[in-house]
Amino acid sequence: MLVNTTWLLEYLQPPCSEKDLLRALASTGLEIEAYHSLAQELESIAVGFIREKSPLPGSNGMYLCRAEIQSGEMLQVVCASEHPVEVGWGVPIARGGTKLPTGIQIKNERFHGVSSEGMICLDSELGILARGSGLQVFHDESAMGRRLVDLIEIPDSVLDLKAPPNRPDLLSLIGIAREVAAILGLSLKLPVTSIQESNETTAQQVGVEIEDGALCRRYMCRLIKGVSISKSPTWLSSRIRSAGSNPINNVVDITNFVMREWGQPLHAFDFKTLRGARIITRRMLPTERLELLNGTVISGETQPLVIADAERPIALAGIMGGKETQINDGTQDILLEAAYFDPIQIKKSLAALPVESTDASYRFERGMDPNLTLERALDRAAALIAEVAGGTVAKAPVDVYVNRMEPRQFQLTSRRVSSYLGKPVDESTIQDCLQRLEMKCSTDLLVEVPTWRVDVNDPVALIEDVARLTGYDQIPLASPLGALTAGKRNSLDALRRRVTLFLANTGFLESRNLTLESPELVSQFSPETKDNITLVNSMKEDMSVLRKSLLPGLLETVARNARREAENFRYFELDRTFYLADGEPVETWVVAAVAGGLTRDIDWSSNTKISFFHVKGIAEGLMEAMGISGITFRPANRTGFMEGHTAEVLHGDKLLGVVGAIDRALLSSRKIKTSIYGFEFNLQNMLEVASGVQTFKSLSRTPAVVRDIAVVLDSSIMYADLDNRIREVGGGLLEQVQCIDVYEGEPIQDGKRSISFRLRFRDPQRTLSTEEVSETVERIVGALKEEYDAKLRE
Amino acid sequence: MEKNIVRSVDEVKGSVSDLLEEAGREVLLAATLERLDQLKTEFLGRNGKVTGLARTVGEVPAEQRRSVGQAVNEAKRKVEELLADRRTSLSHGEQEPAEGRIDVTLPGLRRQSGHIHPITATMEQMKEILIGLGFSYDDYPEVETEYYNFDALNTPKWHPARDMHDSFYTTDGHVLRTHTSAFQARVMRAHGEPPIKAITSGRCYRNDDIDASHLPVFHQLDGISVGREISFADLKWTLFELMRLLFGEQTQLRFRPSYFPFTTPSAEVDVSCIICKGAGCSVCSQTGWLEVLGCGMMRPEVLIAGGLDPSIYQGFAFGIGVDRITMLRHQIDDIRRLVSNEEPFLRQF
Repeated sequence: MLVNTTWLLEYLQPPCSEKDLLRALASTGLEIEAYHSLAQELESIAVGFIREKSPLPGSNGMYLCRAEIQSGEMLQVVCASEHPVEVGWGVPIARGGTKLPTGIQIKNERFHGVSSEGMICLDSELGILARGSGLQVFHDESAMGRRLVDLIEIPDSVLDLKAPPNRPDLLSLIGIAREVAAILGLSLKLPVTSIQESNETTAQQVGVEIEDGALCRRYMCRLIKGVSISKSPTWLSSRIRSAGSNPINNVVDITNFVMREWGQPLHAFDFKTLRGARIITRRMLPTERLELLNGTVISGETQPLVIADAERPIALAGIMGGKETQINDGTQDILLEAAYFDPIQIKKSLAALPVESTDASYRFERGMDPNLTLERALDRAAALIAEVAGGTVAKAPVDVYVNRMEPRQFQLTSRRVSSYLGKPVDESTIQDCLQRLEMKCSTDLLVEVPTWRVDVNDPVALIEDVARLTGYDQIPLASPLGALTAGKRNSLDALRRRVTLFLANTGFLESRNLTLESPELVSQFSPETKDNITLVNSMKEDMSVLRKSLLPGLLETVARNARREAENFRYFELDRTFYLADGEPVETWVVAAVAGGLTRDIDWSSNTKISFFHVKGIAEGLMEAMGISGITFRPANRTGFMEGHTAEVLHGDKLLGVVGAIDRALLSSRKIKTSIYGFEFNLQNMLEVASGVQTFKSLSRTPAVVRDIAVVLDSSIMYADLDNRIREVGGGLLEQVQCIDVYEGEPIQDGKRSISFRLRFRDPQRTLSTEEVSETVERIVGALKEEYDAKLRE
Repeated sequence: MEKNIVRSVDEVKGSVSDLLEEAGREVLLAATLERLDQLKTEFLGRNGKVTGLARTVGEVPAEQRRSVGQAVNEAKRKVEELLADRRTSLSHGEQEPAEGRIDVTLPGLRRQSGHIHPITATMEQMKEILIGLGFSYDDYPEVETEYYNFDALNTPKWHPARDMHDSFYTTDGHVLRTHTSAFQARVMRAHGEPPIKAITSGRCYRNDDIDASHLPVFHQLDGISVGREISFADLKWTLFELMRLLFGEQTQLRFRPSYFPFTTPSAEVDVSCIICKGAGCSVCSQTGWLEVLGCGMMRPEVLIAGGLDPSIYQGFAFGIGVDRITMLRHQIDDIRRLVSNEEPFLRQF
């Protein structure tokens, strides 16, 4: 909402400084989204003198002017008849390229084949309230080339204010001024309205009926006869422009003006187009059609609330008037409407129809005041129409008020206010604050709230008013009293933090990708689509499904960095993944990592490439660091991973996740040349199997006996099976089995490999004898020979 | 050596263990393969120490020769093993400090260190501070019900404040939480009787266009404190502590009236600009202040939705945009950098 401060200050007595005004606005809850000081923003506007003026051939009332903008420097300007200039006048001229505070962008343009290098600026086009004729004219030639701001005082600023959704009363200048007055201790100066009424009453000429008081509490109208529709005077049109609207005609501009002044939207009908001298607010019938002012034709299927005459709908209630009954140049008699419509109904009408929100609906859907504001706004508009457009106002408005809104009452206590704010606030302070906001407040703090304050539906809102008016900065800082609480994090979050630190310390970069992905990306690691959580209203296809794995995002990270010439990749991410189970969303915390390239980025000596076993090693290290022991790896086929290079990771029967080489197709489509390996683990499952606090085991003092054996056997025999068997046969004395070498190739026969184990034996109680160790080793070798056809390699 | 001198078993076994100790020491000290060859000759050669020891076996009483012989054989095997192991490690390029100089200015051999994403780091720091102030952290759903995201926060259908959020809806009828405040009724119901001091953080979703300060997926941190006498003054103290620990001792706070459907009184909180310390700069648009969070006293409707009696309990709530705080702390100019995951970015934090 654009507000010209000069206009706003007209409602304050005495007027305040702009600095005070801005300070007060900050305490109202209004958000100042933009602040334009016109004196600053109009610095580029200078005065030029019109030397020649001639009609522009082929145009409808346009003129071609030549203006002297510096001594001897001429500028060619095309102007419309709106800009009545004469040769010899000095006028404000904006050159091409200038942007005016009202948002108008001046360009070098061609009109009917003639180029225009600037614009003659009316007050309203500059964003200032019009003075006199609405165009600043200088006759003293010394003004030539001088900046407008040096010649006249421009005190106006334009504020772009945003009212909180619960305060529709702040969608008006009077509403804002009321708050400012309360905060600064000034008086509110309301416009004085006096209407010369004719003898004929409105009620004699038009009847009003409300079908459902729940949808329309009150409908008032006034009849004004004999108006002449014309362009608005400059004081009015400049105000309409300052609010960011375009002037239309005097009557429409007045309804617009009063809406900005009082907040109450009004509508004017051409009375002669109404049929049957009746107004009915009712639901539109499914068979009916209504063409709106903007040309949109709506139909009645959804039965929105409309204003109808005796025969047909004539306006979409609270949103927009109808085309057939609108004010036009020939209109003589006007029916002026002020009504209260149910906010939710207005929202529903908008939601159901192909109609955008309007200034009127924006206000109605937040809630208007059906009492004082509605009455005053109607009278104010009627009086202004009579004054500006001529005409006679019929006696007494028609007023149908079927569903009265009564002011609410609340009981406050100083105890409650003090406890809420955390500082003592006495009764008289509370009373004073609320009275300044035009509330009735007795000494025992029984408060009656005016109906324009639709936000006040409990005493808490009044506490906010007291806090605002006494100042939030007056509330002290108090370290909390009462029971102490122990701060802690949940165990999953604690695990997440440890996993993050482990991976960061292992050389991985934490990546954070968007959780919304394209269906295609999601499917790269999760082929099942039935349990996808899909958005119904995503802006883009590539952000329409919640991700089910972190690996697609991490591959995107690899690809992006590969494009930036990175060669070694180590990224991880910790986040939720999502899927549906029995129609309900399930959120699972997972950790995933990808790696590829050299094991060490900085190495001038020797280096190796990251392989499956490096990444598996990181996964094993991660599990060990998280207190998870006894994990097993099982060959697996997983979408997104390479067959034969992938393993599921288990703890007992519980699946913790997967580790493997990423499918080459996913790499080549991303132009990743390096082999990439990755893992993804379910953190919740990890948490379930992680051991808690470790119990100390006493340290052994007896020496260990170490024996290495090397066996040659079929390459298809899995290491894990051998390892398990060795441990079984080795029994309690076999403390550790380590794989120290795996070799395939000459002189080993094809299809076979040699595996070397280092076996460590220990008995914590006594020193082992060579004989018993040798005997155990022999039994192990024997078992491998017998069960796996292993040959001992000498 | 006189031929008929009879040695005791203990004597020979003592020599064996001395010899093994010596061999272990010498082999470890050997820095080159040449030295290893020397040692091999020294211990295992025809005139080597082990061979010498073997000759003494004949000098112990006959009935003990077998066990002494075994000990000497075992020793021989151990020395062979020591030499072989050392040979392996030396030939695998393990560098040993040798005579002469090395170029100590050559780069250390390593992989580059990992880094934690600035969003995580900032979120963690805020959590740490608040946990220290007695708040407990827990996770809450991102795929929420309309009830918890809106209705329980005094934002029923058709409420004008719902327009403030362009929400994402899922085909199964859920909404992606538009703010972490969605946790408020949940945590109160889960916790039961106050005092309750709870925080959560994580991703939130709004159907916004992407630009330098908006992403449809962003991060928030929310907290509530509920008790019998929790006041706006407590709220101010808590946020002051948080911001001071986050941005430094000199940080000033400013509370401005604002509106949220689920708090009254509501406030928008500004901190003194961390760049210019309040003097005015481009980051704070010359105002000296930065808007960082929203807060207020929890509305009675919200307490009721959480199963609490608003005539007995009252509390405060606050919500912070983690992305914005992160951007301010590190002076990051564009929110899109936070999801770019480019190494030159990630390695800076």
